Amino acid sequence: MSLGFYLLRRLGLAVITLFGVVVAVFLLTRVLPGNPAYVKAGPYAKPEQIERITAEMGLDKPIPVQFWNYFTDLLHGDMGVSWSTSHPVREDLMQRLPATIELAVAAFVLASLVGLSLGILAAIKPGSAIDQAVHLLSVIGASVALFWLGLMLIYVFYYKLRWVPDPMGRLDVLMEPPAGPTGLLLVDTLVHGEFQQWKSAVGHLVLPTISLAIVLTPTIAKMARAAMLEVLQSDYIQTARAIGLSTARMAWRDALPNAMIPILTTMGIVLAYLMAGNVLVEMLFAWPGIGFYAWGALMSNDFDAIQGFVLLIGILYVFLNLVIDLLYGVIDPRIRLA
Amino acid sequence: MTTQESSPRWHTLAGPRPVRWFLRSARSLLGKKLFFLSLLLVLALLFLAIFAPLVVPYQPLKTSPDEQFLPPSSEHWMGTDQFGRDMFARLVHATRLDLMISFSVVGLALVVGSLLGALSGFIGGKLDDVLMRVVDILQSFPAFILAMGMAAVLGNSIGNVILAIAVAYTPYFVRLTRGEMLRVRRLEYADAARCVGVSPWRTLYYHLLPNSITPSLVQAALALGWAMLDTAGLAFLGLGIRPPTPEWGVMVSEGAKNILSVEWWTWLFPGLAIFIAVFGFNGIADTLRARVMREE
Repeated sequence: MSLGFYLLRRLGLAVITLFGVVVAVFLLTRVLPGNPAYVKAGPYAKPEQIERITAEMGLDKPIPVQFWNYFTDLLHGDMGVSWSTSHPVREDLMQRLPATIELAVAAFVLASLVGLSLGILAAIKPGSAIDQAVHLLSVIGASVALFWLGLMLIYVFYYKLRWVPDPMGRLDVLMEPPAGPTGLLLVDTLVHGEFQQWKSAVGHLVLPTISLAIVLTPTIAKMARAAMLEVLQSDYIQTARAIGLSTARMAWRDALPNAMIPILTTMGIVLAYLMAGNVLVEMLFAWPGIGFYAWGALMSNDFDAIQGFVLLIGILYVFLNLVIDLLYGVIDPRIRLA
Repeated sequence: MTTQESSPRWHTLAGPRPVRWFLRSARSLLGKKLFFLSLLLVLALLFLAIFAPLVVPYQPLKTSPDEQFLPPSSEHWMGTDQFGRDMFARLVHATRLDLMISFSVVGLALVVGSLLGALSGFIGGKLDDVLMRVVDILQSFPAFILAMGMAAVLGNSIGNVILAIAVAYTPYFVRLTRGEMLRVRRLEYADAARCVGVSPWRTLYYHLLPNSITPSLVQAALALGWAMLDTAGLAFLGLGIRPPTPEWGVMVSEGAKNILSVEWWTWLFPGLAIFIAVFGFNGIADTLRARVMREE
């Protein structure tokens, strides 16, 4: 099977899954027992008000009609209007997405570096003290509640040591965030030559990144260890060993590229942790991304906003899993045959 | 460990093998430090959850305005919070609630998921197609986000939190059991049962189900930890369980309001309790999984 055909087939499957995601988000809010109109109207609403809101939201129409309306609105990019910000939900989300991406990418890169290194170290000498230490660390890392971890970091590094700035938002309160072009502060501040702001942005990024990364690292380390162990036992590595290549060269140059495929296939789990953890971290650090927005929406029963957030996460998750699939289809020709 | 013990012989025709397998493994695992420590932690928490609320002299909801923010002392082992409530009393009552919630979540997801998965794998055809599409769609959301969405729609109550998280976890168990079922139903002993005239349902229930549930059981130990983290995470976000109910996540979030003052005990202890519980479940799951992988 050609690479092109493989890519097309995966794309087709992703489109079907995306449709499923839209259906699921629709069902989540329309068919589950809670009545959105009640939630929207608030606890003190009179029956007439609820009736009016029900009609406004189109909830008195048959379910298939409601779905058709929801679906066609979505295709036009309409995710409804948030009533706490009174902006269209899509604009709100798009405006906040860069902040989330900046944090998520930083945490993902840090966790991957640390996780891969630890996993490889553990796999080189299975059963050694290093291996056991990595094992214990990964069980510990997988057992910590993210928000509690964040609190401890704030307490120690902000309150006690004052190493980092006020853990609220992305910049010092008095600073005016640079206008564009990417929305990623680390990039934008440099583009505008605002070095002072860049330092502040880095300072604000440190603690949320470390909190998220600590929670992601154990999974990556575990996957890397398992994948590396398998590769290190293969014949060509034994040969490399016999020839007398150094352990470091063998691990990084020969073994790791081959271990990357099994590591990639399980990256979806890490992404799920990243997206879930993101909401908690953004809330804790008042990080103005989509997770913080979702939390605000949850607190004010901002229905369209919650729905839009869950849909966006679903779409992102499907998209990123597609990218992973495509990547290892490109890396490993054998996958395309399956 | 002798070689006799380590070879799994589940595909003989009688008895709920996984249970016996579990006990046998547990015995040989007791030598392992991590497993032993984890088991000890979980048992200690269970003990605390069952008996401590009966003997702690303070009520978890009793406020005393003149005893705000007392640091830990022999009087109040973990200090008091902003309403003068005894932290230790709240913590042990929370232990009871959190353990109850995570066991309910995992029990529900395990039973429903395994049964659906087993049926789906055994019957195949249309049922399998439909069920697997539903599972696919549910799994195209991170579990926590799905639970968050459902908890938001269902409204705040303990039952709704359990339901929301259980629905988010069920797909894992459906998939695991279905995969195993597809494997075991092709093994010889399944043919043998069919040949001697055992009815399909009997084969499914007595022979195939017990043999396809092991991966789900290992997953269940892991899921107990996840359920705790997710319940506490939702509560921290203000979803599901609300103050003043004594629950670990609620307690951390109440304590978090005092993060920039000296009252560290208001948020440290409940978070530590979450850590200990989840570490216990993870340690057990980790050792069990290593064991299952070795046997295969």
